[in-house]
Amino acid sequence: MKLNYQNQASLIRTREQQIADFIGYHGFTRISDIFIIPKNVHNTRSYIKKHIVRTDHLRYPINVKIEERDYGLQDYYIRSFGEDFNLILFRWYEAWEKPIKIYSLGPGIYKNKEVSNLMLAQVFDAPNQLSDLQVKLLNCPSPFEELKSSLSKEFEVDCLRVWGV
Amino acid sequence: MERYKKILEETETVELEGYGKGLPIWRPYGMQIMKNIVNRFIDHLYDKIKFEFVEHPMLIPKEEYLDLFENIEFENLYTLDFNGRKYILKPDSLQFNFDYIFKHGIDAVLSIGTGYRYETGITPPLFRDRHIWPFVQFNHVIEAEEVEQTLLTHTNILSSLFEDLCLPHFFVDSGKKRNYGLHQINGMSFLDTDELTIISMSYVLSESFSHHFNTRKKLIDTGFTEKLLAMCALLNIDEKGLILPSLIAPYNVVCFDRNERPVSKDIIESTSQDNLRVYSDNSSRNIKRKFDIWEKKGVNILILTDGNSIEKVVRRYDKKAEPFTSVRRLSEILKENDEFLRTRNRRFMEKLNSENQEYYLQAFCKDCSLETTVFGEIFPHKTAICECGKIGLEYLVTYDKKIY
Repeated sequence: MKLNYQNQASLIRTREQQIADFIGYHGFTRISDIFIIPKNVHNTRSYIKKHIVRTDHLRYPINVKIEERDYGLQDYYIRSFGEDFNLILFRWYEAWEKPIKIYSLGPGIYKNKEVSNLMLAQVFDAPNQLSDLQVKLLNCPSPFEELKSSLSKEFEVDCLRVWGV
Repeated sequence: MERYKKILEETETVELEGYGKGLPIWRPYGMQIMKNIVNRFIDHLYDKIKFEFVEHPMLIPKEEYLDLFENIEFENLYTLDFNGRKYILKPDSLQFNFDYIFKHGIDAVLSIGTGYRYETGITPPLFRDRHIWPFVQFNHVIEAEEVEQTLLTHTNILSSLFEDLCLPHFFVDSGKKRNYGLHQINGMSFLDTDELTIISMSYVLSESFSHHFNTRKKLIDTGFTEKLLAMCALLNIDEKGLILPSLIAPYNVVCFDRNERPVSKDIIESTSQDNLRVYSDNSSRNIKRKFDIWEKKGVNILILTDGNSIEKVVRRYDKKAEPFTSVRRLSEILKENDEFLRTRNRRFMEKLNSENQEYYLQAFCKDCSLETTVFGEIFPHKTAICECGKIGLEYLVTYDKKIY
């Protein structure tokens, strides 16, 4: 066999802990990471008087086709490095205590290869808090080889996204 | 069966519908409980067997996977094209684990990973998911004459874990598993509906696996999943919510102040001894709300403070209050908590010996066992006298062979 091992388990765990410590220090809480998301699930819309007000769109940056036994090739997202991701559903956004500062950490695709510790983080807070946090995260020493961020919207709400390996 | 889902979501343990059917999302509280469960297993394992931790990628080149499982048809794999190559999403770590063992000349490895299995139909969350986390898989290579003793060691380790979780349990040797296993030892427990369920599995893998790795040794595959937490949420509850076994509770003690002031540092320090996991809830919620939340989350002890003094200590398991006397007493309460759960769950084990319609234990000799629907032999094997008078073994008899 010629499998590409990632058998340095302790190194991977140490790195995971370094990232978790860094991001935890900035007030983020962790949710589990899921490697693939079906493209069509939970992309539901909520309406008020026939006007679409919210759209759930769980997603990762890269699209793949995955073969399912009963349905053939289906569209999925694969956990990957990049800006276009959303980790939470609108009903979670509504229900969870604010501000929401969450991250997931685990396997993902970076430069066309699988890596062990890809971090995707998302923050919902007041716009000035988001920009302050963005500056803080990008300007302090971090354990990431590459760390990026963007300010945009999700559910028509201001949102900071941070992604790194 | 439905209540565990409600409790796990209300306690912010896991979002069961998560990223789609069978793709639950674990929240920090749930991740911590699961980590504590896995750590208990590791502690018990360390006492008995030398092993290494391993980590593996999610994407497995398809041709290499099929090379190992050439004689076995799997219908529950996800396959994808990525960068011009066909991959399988890792359904478990068996292949990687044994390959690592033989490559590095060691006896055993433990992987705590993730598995993807294609599932359809009604699949209760955490019992049968498409994304399984954690997927705890312990693989062990032994000499043929060591099989019985090794399986006994593995089941003892699992039994210690299930004791920590206060789950009623026993083990059954279900014999040969098609062309996959020469033996299958199932860890068994009970749903809240009294039905039997499987909570762990240990296989002695079939000859085709040994042949693949070019060895005469026997390959053992032992594992469990997230289902253990679902089982705790099914059996270790009351009308208020979870009652977590003390060894897996993220917090054994939660303190909060009567007048919504921050809990005194002296109190935190004095209670954080004896390996107790202590948390102070300094949020602005009112006292009743704090009691409700932490009781529902299954924290073992709630402490109400008033400035620098402790007003009362409330035990989660029986909801009774007592004055604070010492940290040692807090540790005693944790033992009482676990004993309360074990005693309460003992009723399930008693059903095995009663006149139950669905399942029961009975002694059979080899000939008589062939005439009855038996699920398997109780493990460790127990000698007993069959009704025909011959010496036999104790069996689990079930009318429903499909137990999951």
